[in-house]
Amino acid sequence: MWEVSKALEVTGLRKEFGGLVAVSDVTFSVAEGEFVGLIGPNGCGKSTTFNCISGLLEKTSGRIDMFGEDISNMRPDQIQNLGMTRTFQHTNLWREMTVIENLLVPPRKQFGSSFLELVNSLLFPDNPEEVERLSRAYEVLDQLEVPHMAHNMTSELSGGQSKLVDIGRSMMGDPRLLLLDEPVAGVAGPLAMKIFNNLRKLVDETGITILIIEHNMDFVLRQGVDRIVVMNEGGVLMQGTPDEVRNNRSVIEAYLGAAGDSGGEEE
Amino acid sequence: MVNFGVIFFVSIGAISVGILTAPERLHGYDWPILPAMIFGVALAGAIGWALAYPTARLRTDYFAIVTISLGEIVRVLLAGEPLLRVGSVGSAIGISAYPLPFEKMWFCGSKTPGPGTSWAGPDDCRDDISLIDTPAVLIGDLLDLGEPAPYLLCLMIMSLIAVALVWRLLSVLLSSPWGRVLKAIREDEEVAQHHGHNVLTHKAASLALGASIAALAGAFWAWKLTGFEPTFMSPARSTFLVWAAFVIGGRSNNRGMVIGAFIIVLMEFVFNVLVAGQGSSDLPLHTTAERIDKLFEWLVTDQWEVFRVFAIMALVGILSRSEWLFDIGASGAAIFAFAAIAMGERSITESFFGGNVYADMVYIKLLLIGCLMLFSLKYNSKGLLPEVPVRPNRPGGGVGSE
Repeated sequence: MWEVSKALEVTGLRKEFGGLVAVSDVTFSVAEGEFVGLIGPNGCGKSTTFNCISGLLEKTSGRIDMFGEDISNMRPDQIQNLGMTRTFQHTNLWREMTVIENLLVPPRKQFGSSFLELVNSLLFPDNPEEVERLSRAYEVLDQLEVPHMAHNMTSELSGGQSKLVDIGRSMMGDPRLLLLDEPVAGVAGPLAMKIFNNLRKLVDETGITILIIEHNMDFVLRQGVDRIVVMNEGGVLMQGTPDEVRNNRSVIEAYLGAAGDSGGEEE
Repeated sequence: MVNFGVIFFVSIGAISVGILTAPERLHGYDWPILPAMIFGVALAGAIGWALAYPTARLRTDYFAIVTISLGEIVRVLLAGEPLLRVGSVGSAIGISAYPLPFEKMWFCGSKTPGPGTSWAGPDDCRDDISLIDTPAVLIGDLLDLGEPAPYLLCLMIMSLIAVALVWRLLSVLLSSPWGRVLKAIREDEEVAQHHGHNVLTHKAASLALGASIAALAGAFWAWKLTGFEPTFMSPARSTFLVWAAFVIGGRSNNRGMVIGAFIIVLMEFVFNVLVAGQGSSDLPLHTTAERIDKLFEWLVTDQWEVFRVFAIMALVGILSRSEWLFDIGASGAAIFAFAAIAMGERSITESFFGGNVYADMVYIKLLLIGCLMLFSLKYNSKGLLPEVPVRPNRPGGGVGSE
């Protein structure tokens, strides 16, 4: 193997809830600039793995490195400041706020890095950085083709629209590593495909790294991701390219069923 | 975060100002007023910040309980702790005899009272009719009061200035990135943390800010009361009124908060007049007070009659198939039937001296404020003035929406 710098390296991750072992000995890594899918049947520990990586859950044991730095015992906000953003399976937009306001919360270094800059950011809200953030937020909305929603309250949005805004919000934190947990569940087919293509383009053009949990096999197996990590019953079943995964007997048994061979409509 | 400790921080401001500025011979520290006020505000801010670390991880309701108990702790301390007595003699409790800001200037103008002059203090200046060019006299003439304007007017001007300054500060902060982050934490703190904001620090800072403002209010309150004892900290008279103002006026809207506060203060004022009006027929609102007393007397003494009214209401409710009318009628009838059976003639003569039934306006006021809050929560849950959504347009003039 040659040396590729790792965006994310999970080693021996184990998480127990009381006596229940949700995830045990999960080891995988994601190289920088890679688009990796994380698949597996319901309840196999995908989201738990995400929660342990992002610092939401305290893991029982194991080690997680991001861009060569040990993030095992960091708080979620520290991890975000190092360049990782994640979304949640259940979209949690801040409800009593407008869409544009939602997008303006994640940008990093909002309060400057010195006391003077802090005072400046607090007492002079019209400073150039703020204007820059605002135009960037509108750009993101343009990319998602929903600039007309900027002034809506997020509590008024439909499920699919919320998913879009959630993706937009994660882009605003300038992530180098993006963890997406079923980003397009509930989004209409053509739009979902478009979002996938945009994510693919994002990876190819800007070089960010994406780890995605997704049940849409059509996308994951056939046209999108570089590599797939398959989980089953709290452990990693196999890793490999979409082709390898599609033809692996144990994966077919555990998860894909007939879908791996024929069409890929497993939901 | 639900901070029910408003009175705790208010009392920190009031007590620091009182103790620090009182003269040394009365066990005070003889500080000038401004540094004492700044000290009180800073102390409350520091305590608020420190308080956040052990408590902000608690769930909302537990945090509320912690803050309530803090207020009670200070109240008990104030009643029992000799070090918290200033300006009083012997075993008297409370804090008094502290100087009031600008009081000398208000009553004495350019003259300085003190030993060797004909005025020992501001009170003597006020009573000295030969002093004519003091602000109190000038404003008293302007308003045609026929006497020097009371010190309360000076305090009012100062507190209006303070409200304006605090308002300005808060609206700037609310529209800053920090205000945005606080809103995000209010909506979902877990997600806010995942988007790179250390929730604990932000909570601590906001608690410190709220505490400082409460302490500033406490200083003004101390000056208004000119001396206070532990009862001023009763939660029913302070914390919950602040919260009532907050609920009625509108959450996360400064204007709504001020309007809510005015409604509450106005009610306080009207009821103070009512209490006075109860006693004498010369005072305003005497007839209103009399009517309230009559109603109350009817409720207390003619319980079977009241029961009949509610029973009829319930009956009408059944006939017209109106559920809420029936609910009110039935529960009212049940309550008064019970009261009529349980309460005899003697309980009335013993509760009310000489058998004269009169309403205690303080409780009627709290009852009314409670009803107002319930009504506001049920029918107008966002308050009179709801939160204004922030809708910045695309910089450079592009159209953002519609």
